[in-house]
Amino acid sequence: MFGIQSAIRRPPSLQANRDVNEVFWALDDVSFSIAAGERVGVIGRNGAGKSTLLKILSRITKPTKGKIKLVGKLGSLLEVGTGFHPELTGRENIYLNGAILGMSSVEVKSKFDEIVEFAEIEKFLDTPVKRYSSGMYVKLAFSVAAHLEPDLLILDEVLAVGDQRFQKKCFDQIRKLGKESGRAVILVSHNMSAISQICSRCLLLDKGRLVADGETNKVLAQYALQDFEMGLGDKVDLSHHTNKEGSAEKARFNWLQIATSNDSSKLVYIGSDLIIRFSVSFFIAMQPEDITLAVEISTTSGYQVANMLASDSGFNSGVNLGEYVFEVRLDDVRFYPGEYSLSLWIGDSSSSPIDYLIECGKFEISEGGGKVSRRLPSGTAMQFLTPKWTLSAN
Amino acid sequence: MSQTDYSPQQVTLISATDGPKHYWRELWRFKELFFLLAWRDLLVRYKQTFIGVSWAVLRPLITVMVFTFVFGKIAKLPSGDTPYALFVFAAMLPWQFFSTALAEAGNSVVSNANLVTKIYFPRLLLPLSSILVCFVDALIAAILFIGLIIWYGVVPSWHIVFLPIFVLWLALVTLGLSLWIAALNVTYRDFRYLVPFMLQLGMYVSPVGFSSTIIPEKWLWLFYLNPLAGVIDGFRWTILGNDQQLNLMLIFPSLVFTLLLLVYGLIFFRSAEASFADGI
Repeated sequence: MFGIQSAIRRPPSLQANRDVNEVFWALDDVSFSIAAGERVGVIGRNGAGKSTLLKILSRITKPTKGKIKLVGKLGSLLEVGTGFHPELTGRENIYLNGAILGMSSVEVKSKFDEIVEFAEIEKFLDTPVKRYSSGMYVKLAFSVAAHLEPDLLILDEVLAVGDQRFQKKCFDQIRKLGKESGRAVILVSHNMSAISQICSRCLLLDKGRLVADGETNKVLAQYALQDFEMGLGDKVDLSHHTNKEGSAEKARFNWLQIATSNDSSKLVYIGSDLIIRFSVSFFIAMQPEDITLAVEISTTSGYQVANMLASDSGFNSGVNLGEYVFEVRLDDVRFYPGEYSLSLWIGDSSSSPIDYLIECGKFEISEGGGKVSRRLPSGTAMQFLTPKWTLSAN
Repeated sequence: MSQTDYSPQQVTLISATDGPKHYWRELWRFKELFFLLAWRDLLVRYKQTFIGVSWAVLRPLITVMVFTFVFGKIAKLPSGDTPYALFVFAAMLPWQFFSTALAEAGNSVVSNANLVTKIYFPRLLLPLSSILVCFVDALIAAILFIGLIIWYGVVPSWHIVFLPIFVLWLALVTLGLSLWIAALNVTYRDFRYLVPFMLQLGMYVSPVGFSSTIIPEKWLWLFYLNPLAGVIDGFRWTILGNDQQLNLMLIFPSLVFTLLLLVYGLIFFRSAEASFADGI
């Protein structure tokens, strides 16, 4: 078996200008295990703790609390070309860098030709690397690393090297590491397409905590949502939303606004009225029976809690060319406290979408409000229902 | 998926409290990196210099000439029956090794910050490999010294068999002090300025240009607290023969001080090592 288990906390960096008692945990309550052959992506915003996690895993710094159990040989590549010396030739740097990354000189020797061929620098092997172009430099550096054979390979933002063709070559090499030789790979990147191409599983860090661990697509969707700031009452431009389906030829969503009828409050509580407004541009005139409009509401973990069709509410209207604003008013919201995402659908009579924007908006149901007199921990139930109770003697 | 059974050595536990259980074994595992780091520094050392490796010879040679002139000819200090140039060179060899090695090993962790923050290896390799590089330099200078000895027609006595002991002693003093400075340098860059200054003063309180015999008896105990004093006396005694004096009772404090420096240096370096990447 191969695995990493960790429950890390680290480190209480006391900032000079802050209260000395204030302890900042770069990582807290992060536990996971990785099996052989798994390729795991780590994502999160800047400062989420990704690099600290990698530094602890690669033993560069020590955790303040918690522990990690590593089985097998570890190779980490936190930077392309660590330890490259500009004065040394390509050949010399291959040996030096190999040793720095943990390869024995016998290993480097046996893979030397492969490395040189991969890097495509045969002609410049005996030229000092300070005379290399930046492209050649990173290619060489990555090639050395790509031929490491650790049981666990840790990569930090190192894939943005070289031209497109070379990048693809690197991707393939990393995938090969996992699939064919059963090595585990941990990859940190801000490049979501790299993550989704390489990793089957993903960890999402937020403010030092592990907030999601699962299938890459799901975690990426959650991250996209987390990254997306939408305050109550903000009018959000939808033209750049990427997670969508449909050609948007006949109609297109323009903007979305989520608000509550109680203007004095900036929060939505159980019992509040939720008002969803969105604008749609129609490029052809449409009959009422040709339009399907829907608003979906899901939890951040992707569980759909409502799919509200206009026709369900008895709303059927035809349109001419031009822009229309729809208002959907959901009185007395009963969703449990927590974050929810919203998707918009416009389709024709066949159930295929014209424009379907997945998770293009979000709102939060806050704890409290006049209707609730007890604490409702989020995630413990879906709906807060207050049916009518009666009692009769039997 | 390879279902290899891993031996216990391949299980690494990372936690706040236990460091690597087998630090010395770990150090051994990285021996190749140790040599490669030294090899890198050697290759780079005289790159883009006009006279190249000659610097390794030229520096001690010129210093010896100046010292011979100032202390031997002008101040007319005693050197026994030995030619003053040889007398100075026998001391200049260990001193120059000590001073360059201390300067470079003391800086080794900071100057390799790019490695320290990006990759794991026992940090002890950095000062060690810097010292190895300076040792190679010293060997080149030693060849010049041997030539000079032959030219003067001096025949070393049987004392020469003890030379390895003093070489080892020199290496341990250098390592001991380097460990302190390398680790302190990470947090306090003051040492970058302090070390050259210390070395400048050190050359005058160590018996490099003069013989230990001219030190007044009441100050000898203080003089020999300097571990280099014992080492240099030893070098002269082993290389230049009977004519030179070696008082074992007097150099004993030097030896004790060296060992204390080394042992506490190792402990200090090991404890500071964990936070190098954060503090650098």
